[in-house]
Amino acid sequence: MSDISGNLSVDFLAGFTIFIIAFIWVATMIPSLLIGLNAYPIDYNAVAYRTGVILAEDPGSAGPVPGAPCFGISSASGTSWESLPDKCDIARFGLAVSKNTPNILDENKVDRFFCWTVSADPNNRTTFSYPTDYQERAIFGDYPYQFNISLKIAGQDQVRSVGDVIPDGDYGYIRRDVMIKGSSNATIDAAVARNKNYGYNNTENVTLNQFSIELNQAELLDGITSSPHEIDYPAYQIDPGSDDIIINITELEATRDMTLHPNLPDSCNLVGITFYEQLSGNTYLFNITPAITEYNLTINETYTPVSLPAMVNDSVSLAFKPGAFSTAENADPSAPVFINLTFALSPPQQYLNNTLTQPFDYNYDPANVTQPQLQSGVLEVAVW
Amino acid sequence: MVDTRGQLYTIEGVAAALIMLASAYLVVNATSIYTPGDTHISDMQLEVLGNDALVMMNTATNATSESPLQAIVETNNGNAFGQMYNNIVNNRTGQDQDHVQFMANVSYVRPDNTVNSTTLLNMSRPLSGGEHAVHVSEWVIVKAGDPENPFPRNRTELVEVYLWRD
Repeated sequence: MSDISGNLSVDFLAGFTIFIIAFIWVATMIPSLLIGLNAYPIDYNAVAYRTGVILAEDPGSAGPVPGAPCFGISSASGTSWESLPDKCDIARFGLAVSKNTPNILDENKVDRFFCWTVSADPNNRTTFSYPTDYQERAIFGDYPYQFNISLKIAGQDQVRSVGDVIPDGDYGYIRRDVMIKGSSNATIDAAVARNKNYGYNNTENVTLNQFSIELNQAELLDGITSSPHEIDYPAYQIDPGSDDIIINITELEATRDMTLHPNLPDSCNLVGITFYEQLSGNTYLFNITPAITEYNLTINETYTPVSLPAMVNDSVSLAFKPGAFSTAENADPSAPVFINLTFALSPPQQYLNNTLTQPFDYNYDPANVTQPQLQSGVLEVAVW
Repeated sequence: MVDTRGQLYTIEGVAAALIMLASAYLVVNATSIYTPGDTHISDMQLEVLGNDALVMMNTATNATSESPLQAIVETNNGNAFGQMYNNIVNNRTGQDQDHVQFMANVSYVRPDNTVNSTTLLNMSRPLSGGEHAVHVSEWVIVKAGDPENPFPRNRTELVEVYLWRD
C-alpha cells in the first residue's frame, strides 16, 4: 500500500475511493431490500381466506373453547351451536347447514352469529362481544387480528355485519358467494281444510273439536317419505332439530257449518295444545311436554295468550324453535310427533276437526308445506 | 488487485465496484419474487369467487326446481348467463360493485366421442391481451337430449369460465 518512504499512491487512492463509494451505496440499499419482505399482508389474506372457509363451508361446533375464560364449563357437543344460549358452549362458528353443503348457510346460525355487542360484559354469557368472542371462535391465531365480516342477502336492505370499519390501508380480503336456507311453513286455510275434509264431513255436533298435525321426524330426516318428493340433500331438508317449524291455521270461521249455524258461536276457545310422540316399537302414543319457551302461540294474528283456554276468532299460529320437540323429557328426536289442538265451541257444532280423517302431515309435499327456499347472498371477510 | 508492494489500482477499484453493483442488482431482483401482493393471491381470490358463483348458479332454490345454470345451458341462453353471473360475481356487501370480467364456454361429448364446444357467452369486455385470466369450471346435468341423438337422454356438460380484472 505504501513504500518505505511512506508515500501513498494516487492510483491507490482513486481505486479505493471508487470501491468505498460503491460499497456504501450497496450498504444503503439493504434496508430497502427488507421492506419488501413484510409478511403481514400475506398473512392477512391467508387469515381472511381461512375465516371465509370456516364461515361458509363449516357447520361450526359446540364444545369447550380452549383458552377462553369459561373453558372447562361446557359439556355440549354437535354442530347446532346456534341453539345453545351460553356462549361458553360454542367452540367454533360456522354458518353452513352441514359439512356436505358448502356455501349454503343456515338462517338461524346467521341470525345468532350477527347478534353481538362491543361492550364485553363478563356476566353476559349469551351475546357475543367483539372482538374476543369472534377471535376465539372464527378468526383464530395468536395475533389479535381486527376484522369486519359482512353478509348481504338478496331481497334484504339491511347488510349484516360484525367488526370494525375497514381501514384505508392494507388488509386481507376474501369474498364468498353463498345461499341462505330459509325455514319451511305450513298454512292450513279453508281450501286445505275443504280438500282434506277437515270438519266438512264431520256431521257430529261435538263440543270439543280436535285437530291433529303430524311431524314425522324420522321421515323428514331420512328424506324417505310417503309424499311424492324425496329429499335427502340437507340444503332442502326440513330438520325439526335445527329449523324453525311454522304452522299457520287461518280462515277457521269457514270450517263451521253456516247452514246449520248461521250465527257466530257464543264462544269459540282454544282449550288445549297437547304433544304426543310415537316411540319406536310402540303402537300407542306418549305424551311429551316441550318447554313453553320453545314455541310461540299466536291467536288472531296478534294475541299471544299467557294461558289456555283462549278465545279464537279466525286464526291460530304456532312457531316452534329449532329442537323444540327434543327438549321435552323422554323425547326421541327421530320419532313422529303429533300436535293436537282442541277447540271448544258453544253451541256444539262442526269446526276444524280431523279425528275422522288423517292428521295434517308436515312433510315434503309442496301442497301441504311451503318448502325451505334458498336465497342468494354474498359474504365478505376483511382482516387487518 | 494488489501488486508486490500491496498497491490497489484504479481499474481494480472500478472492477470491484461493478461486481458489487451487479451482485446487488441480482439480489434486488431475486427477492422481488417473494414480495407480497403478488398475483397468486389475487388469482386465488378470483378463482374462489368465480367457482362460488358457478356452484351457486348450479344450486336450485328448492328441491323441486332445476338450477338456473341448468336452465341456461339447456336453452343455451348466453344473455341470461352473462347477466346472472355478472350480478353474482360482482356483488358486494357495500354499495359499489366489483369489476370482474369474464367469458364462458360450454362443451359436451357427442355420441361419437367427439367434443362439441361452443361459446356460451362471449367476453363481457374485449380482451386486450394483457389480462391475467383464471379458469373455473362446473359440470352441469342437462335434461335436454342431444339434437343429433335420436334417443335423447340426460348428459353432462362442462361450463368453463375465464375471469379477469381490468
